[in-house]
Amino acid sequence: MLLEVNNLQTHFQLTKGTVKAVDGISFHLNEGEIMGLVGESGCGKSMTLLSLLRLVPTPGKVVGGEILLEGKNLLKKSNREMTAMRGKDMAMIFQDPMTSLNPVFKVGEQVRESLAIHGYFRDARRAGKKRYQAEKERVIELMEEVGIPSPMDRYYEYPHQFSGGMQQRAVIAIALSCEPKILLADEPTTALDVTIQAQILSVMERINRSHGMAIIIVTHDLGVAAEYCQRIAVMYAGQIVEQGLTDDIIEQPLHPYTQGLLRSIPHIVPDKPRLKPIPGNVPSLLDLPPGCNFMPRCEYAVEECKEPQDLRTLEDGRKVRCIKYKDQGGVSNE
Amino acid sequence: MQAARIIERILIAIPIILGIGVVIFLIMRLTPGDPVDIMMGQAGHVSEREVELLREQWHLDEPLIVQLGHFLGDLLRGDLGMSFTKGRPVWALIMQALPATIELAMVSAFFALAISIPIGVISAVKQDSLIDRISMAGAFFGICMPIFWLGIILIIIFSINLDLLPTYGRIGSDVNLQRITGFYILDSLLTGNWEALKSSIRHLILPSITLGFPMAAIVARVMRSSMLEILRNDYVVMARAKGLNEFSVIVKHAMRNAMIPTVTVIGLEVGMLLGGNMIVETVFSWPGLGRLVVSSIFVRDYPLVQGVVMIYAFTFVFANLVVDILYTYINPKISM
Repeated sequence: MLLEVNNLQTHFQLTKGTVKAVDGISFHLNEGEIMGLVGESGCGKSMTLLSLLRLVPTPGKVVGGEILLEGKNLLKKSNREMTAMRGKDMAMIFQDPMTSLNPVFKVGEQVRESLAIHGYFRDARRAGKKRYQAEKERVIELMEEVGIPSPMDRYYEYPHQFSGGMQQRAVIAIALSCEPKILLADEPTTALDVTIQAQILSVMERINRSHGMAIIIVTHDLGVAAEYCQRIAVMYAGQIVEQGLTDDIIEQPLHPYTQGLLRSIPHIVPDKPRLKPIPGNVPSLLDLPPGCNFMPRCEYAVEECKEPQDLRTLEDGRKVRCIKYKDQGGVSNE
Repeated sequence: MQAARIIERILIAIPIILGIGVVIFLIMRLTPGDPVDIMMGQAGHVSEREVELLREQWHLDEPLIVQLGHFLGDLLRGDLGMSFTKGRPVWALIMQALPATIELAMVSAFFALAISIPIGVISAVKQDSLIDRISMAGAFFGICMPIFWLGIILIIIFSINLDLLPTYGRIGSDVNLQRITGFYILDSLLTGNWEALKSSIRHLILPSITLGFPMAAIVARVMRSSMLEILRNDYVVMARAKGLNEFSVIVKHAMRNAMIPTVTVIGLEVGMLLGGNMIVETVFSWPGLGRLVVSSIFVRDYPLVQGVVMIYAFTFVFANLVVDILYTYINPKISM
């Protein structure tokens, strides 16, 4: 197992109270796998990724759990070790490519910086070239690989001269530069239009295949997750409510929240019933219900839902956080 | 930036400076008090004839519009005229006082930037910490406080009570220094005169703190607020996620961006240092342009006041041009 996250807890200490942005999340990532972390805005998906890199903004803090990367707990590492690890073992790309590149540096130089700080080509001269030259050549290869046309020229351009899609490719090139084992992608296509979305996702899929790089895609788009991920974890209000193989979850969602999400995706089929939205709104993380977080919006809610629910592992290995499945082999009543 | 654009900007500056010339010419003439009366009053018994001769000599008997024409015409040829009271060309008087002003302004700017930029950055990085609160309170004080008052308080504390630093002038009267450039620090270094170097540095400390403090206060506040804004950006998180250490994230990635608004303010403030130093030069008897213009206003020495104001106008226009050029270098999104 490449990455194992156990009972991760990231809390924000505010004057109004404690926000449990990540409330006891456990999942794992296999080598070369693409996993999806799905949920609505504000459910803690992005904070989960930032927690993995220990980059949670203040006043947030990882307060518990463990993050095992190849068996070593990242939460026990020193700051210096973490700095050396970031970008090299685990890289991250962000939602809005327009703001993820530094506007005052040339795009090529921003890719090269990753190679430089992690000491690539420090001594290894490439075909007798100087270090800078060797790094630059590698950058141009990377830019080519992520599909930036005429990388020789675009190396010297500034981010504002790139389109959104090209910027996201450049960000991917930065993430890819040190060939990390894991790529964390925080809504990588949300800010892009649909055709560009598909291009970026296929670039990521290609990298996943050719480099064997494991990817965690955070998205609110179940469609994206369904198409590209082998496994999906559905998050709601800081917790994972359902986890399993993509096909299982799409074909037979167990948790009422997942069912609701799937029902609210429009289908292009004749005579399809009207979309059925999930009633109500995501609760404020400052004011969560005492038991199951989804209970106020759940059509199956019963008295026992007022107690906190565990993430139950069913016989077929799927995990779900719902009272309906307390007899283990429970089945959906869809 | 293309050379053509720079030349265009310089050409635009010419009418601006001429316009300022017209304004200062009229203001001086509209100010009550006549230079001939003031001078004759000081001289005591004078005849009508002598007064008329003087008016004629200074062209004050001509119509105002003709005088203005002379002034602007001479200005375009680079001739600032003769001082009424000192009997020497205005240009020579300015060149004599200019090094003192530039030296003071440069040391003040250096002092101001050396403390304000680090303070702005640290305050932003450690927002709401004790350091942040103390430095922002200090900056607030620096912005509000009248500059002459600070100068006098510093003189009282460091010169009178503690007897550590001199109260006036550029160099001790007992020190001999061969003037080469007019910049005393440079001259004493060139001649290897350590006595003079020590004396001129000691003389610079209080005036440059007085002059630089308000600038430091403004720059620190601008730097802090623009840093705070920049630190919220995704590319800062991205820089950390790449594996950069915190120092590089702040200094290389965040500061470069935060400097963009700060440079504008620095440019204006440097203009203020060169042009707005009359109070400090007067408080510390600093023999620079500021004191020259103040003393010449008192005696209505029209050509001298006009000449110094032209230098100030030129300085401001030039400082703004430098900022605009610098801007295109630090902000790739802008090209002139």
